Amino acid sequence: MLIKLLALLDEGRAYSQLELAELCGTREESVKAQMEYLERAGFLRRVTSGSSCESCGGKCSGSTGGCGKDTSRGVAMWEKTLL
Amino acid sequence: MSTMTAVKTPVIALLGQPNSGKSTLFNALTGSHQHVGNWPGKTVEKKEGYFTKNGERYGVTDLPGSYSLSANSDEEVITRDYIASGKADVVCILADAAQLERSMFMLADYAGMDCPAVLLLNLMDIAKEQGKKVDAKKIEQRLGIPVVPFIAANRKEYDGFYQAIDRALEKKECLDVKKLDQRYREMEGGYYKALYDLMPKDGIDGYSPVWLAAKALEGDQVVIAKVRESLSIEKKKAFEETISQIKNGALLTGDCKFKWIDETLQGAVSGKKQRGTLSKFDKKATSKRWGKLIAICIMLAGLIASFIPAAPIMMIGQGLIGLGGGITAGLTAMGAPPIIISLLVDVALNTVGFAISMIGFVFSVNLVFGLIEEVGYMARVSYVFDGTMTKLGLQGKAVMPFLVSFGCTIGGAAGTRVIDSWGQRVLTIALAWVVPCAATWSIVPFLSSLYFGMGAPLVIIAIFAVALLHMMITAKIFGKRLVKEEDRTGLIMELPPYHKPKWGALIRSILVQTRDILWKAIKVIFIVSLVFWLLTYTGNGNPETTILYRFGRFIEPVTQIFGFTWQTFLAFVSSAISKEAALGVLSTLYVGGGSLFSATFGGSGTAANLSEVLATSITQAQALSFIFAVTFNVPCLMAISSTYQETRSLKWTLKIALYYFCAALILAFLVYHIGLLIF
Repeated sequence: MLIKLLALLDEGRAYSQLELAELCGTREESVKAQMEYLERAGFLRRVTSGSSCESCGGKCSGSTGGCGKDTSRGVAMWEKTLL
Repeated sequence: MSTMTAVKTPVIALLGQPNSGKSTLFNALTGSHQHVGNWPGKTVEKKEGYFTKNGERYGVTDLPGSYSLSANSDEEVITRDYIASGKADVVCILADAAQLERSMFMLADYAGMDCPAVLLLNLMDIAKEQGKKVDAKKIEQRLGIPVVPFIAANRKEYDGFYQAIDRALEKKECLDVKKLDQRYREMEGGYYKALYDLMPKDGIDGYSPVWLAAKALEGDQVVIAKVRESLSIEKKKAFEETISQIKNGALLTGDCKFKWIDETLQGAVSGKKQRGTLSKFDKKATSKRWGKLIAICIMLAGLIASFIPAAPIMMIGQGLIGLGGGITAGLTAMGAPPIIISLLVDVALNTVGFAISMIGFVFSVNLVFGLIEEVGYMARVSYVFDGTMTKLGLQGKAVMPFLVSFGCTIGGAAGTRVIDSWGQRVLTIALAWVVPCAATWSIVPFLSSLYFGMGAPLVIIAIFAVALLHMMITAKIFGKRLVKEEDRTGLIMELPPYHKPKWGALIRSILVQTRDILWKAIKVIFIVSLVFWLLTYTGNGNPETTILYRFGRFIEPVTQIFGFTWQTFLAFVSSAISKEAALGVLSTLYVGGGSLFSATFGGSGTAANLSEVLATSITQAQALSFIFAVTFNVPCLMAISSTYQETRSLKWTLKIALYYFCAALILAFLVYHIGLLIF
């Protein structure tokens, strides 16, 4: 399960959790539970830009009223950590 | 009933992940008969109590909640030591029935501990609300211990719980770990068997060989230390050797545990079926064949739809500017000094007029995209364009800064911090500059509507197409020097379920954003407008004699080749500073000039409305090339500065800026000549 999940990531493309569930022959909730375990154990990490409007220094010049509210634009992403 | 067993009070230990309902159960059972203290020598809270049922007293210990039973925290070590010590007669494990795949991990980590156990599938009411069904009997058959569907908050329905406890005390059934043991043995490398065989038959300190072997495999330092102390010298040597060979033990055991959980829940848990049409749509929206097409269509449709609420607002802005002639005449009649009139009308009024003309688009474009994101569709866009990122030579993660650039290039540049390699980061920023930002999305539709009326949506579509082409070409040009063939890293994306937008909050935040943008735009346009006004104002009313005009006339022959009049050329150049600035320049050089003219020539030639003036001064082909040039020019001064910040390379920042400026000129040239053929 876990091993297959990480192996799939090595193929280098993006997967949705639903897709992973189908590929591993399990349910989406199981994939989420496994991802949590992998994250806790340090095999997976969440992708964050680590930036926010404060770090921009407010340099947006305000032409958009902000970088677009939040830098992740609503998608949570994870990637393998380099071991 | 437990009348024949020992007289000592049986102790029930409550085990489970946080939020599994242990406290609810503990409080319901013990009420006031509880006592909180500390585990000896630790700062961890210890909760003990008792309850009476049918004349029998039962002790209850509430063990600390944790994700699993690792060695990572005092809570976990205390918990497992307590269980292993045998002080509890029954371990009552609570699992969240609505999240069994997750909460059963505690059970998987507990597996192998030789204490009679009961599994409570708590929060069944929540599970039911979510449409989940759980077959407790099936799970019970597989685990060999009582499995009880439960709602800790329902104190009146604890019968199942009491029966399970009594059964556990009587029969002393422990969790059936045969299948898990089998999984461990199937693990590659044979590590489990090697470790298992080294363990004392009766385990150590109350921990069984199954549990110890798995934990040692995982690299549990507390267990490894314990085992080291208990083994003979030769066994210890073999132990160390095996341990040293294991890599990523936590991955191996986790793999087995989740397989075991999956097996146990197979066919015993079912979820709610997704609503028909939405999930059918989502299948198409995320499919390889249709996904990208759907995404592009939706985004284009959104942009075009945003014209509808924006157009009337634009009319208001234009109308405001059109008042210029009348106001000028009126003020002249009142005897106001011409310079004041000019400032008021040519600079102030036009600034506000232009700002209002574009603000309608700002509002509606932000609303449309805010809506798409709120509903949850934006995530699909990221997912679907992952492959495109590869073709451009970028990592899949790059889609994040790209989407942000749709709003503001500065955010996009900052957003590239997710990307690990410097070369990739620079390439991503270089490409993100192509993505038209919100400022562009407000000016471009405005100008397009002005010149092409109903044809404006076509201009938008054309811009989209050119943007894609531009990105591919730019990727080829810059890619070679920045990025080598790298291994692509995989990504997992969570696509949230679609949900109804919270209209109130959405509109309110867009209004706030729009208000801020309007204010900023007014300031920028006003300042630029003022500067250019100062450069073109003359006392005698003939702007032709000013330096700026003379300069403009001088360069015009060259700019004409690219499809620029000298005025639009200056506006184009200033768009590298800020897109709104371009409007300020246009405003003064065209509309300002007009009313200045009319003010001094007795108000006869009034600038009735903006379209008339611009329509006579600029041809459609010129307008088209201007729009394209401004769209694909350097985004703005701040973008340059943040690009420098993120890339830390003056050389690359300047390269990119120069490239975009020249590319915009080339584009203007091409579009102009194509435009000549069309119009």
